Amino acid sequence: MSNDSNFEYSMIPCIIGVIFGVFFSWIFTAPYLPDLYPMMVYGMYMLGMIFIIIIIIVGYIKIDKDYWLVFSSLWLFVMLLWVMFAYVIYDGINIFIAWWRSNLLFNTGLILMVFAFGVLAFWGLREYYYKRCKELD
Amino acid sequence: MKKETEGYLMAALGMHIASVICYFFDIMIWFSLMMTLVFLSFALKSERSE
Repeated sequence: MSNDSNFEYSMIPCIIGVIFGVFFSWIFTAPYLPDLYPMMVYGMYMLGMIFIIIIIIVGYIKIDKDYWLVFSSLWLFVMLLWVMFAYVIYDGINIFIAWWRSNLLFNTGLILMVFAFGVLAFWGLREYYYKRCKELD
Repeated sequence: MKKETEGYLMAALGMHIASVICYFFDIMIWFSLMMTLVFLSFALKSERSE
């Protein structure tokens, strides 16, 4: 980690992010909202697919090879998003849901692994920016 | 890295942590996951701007 990072400042948006993220996710589980889910979910499913395609293409063509770990982590993270959207769509994939819910230990390990990949991606992005800023200086 | 970019990145990290917390409390996590990407894009935008 570079010395010029300012954690005193950056912890505040992080904590606010956690609080707001949990709060609004909880709000969105309100019982009157599920009628709206199919529209939102299918839209996001398409967006997720577009994201994946763009990240793969840009990653192969444009991205510096030294940072392949960062962007492959981001790619895995987006793949998780895609799976999670499928998790929200109940109709038509009940078999998948049943499998998903019956393997609690596997799920927990998977989530923690992908969470670790996500943190790795953030860490890599920070390092990438610090290095780029030094190059620009 | 700009202070603003750092703030957006850490907000994205906070959203990422929020999604894991939500997962363990059986709350739907798609919102916090999408907000993670949104804040990441804000970070990229603020870093690239003059």
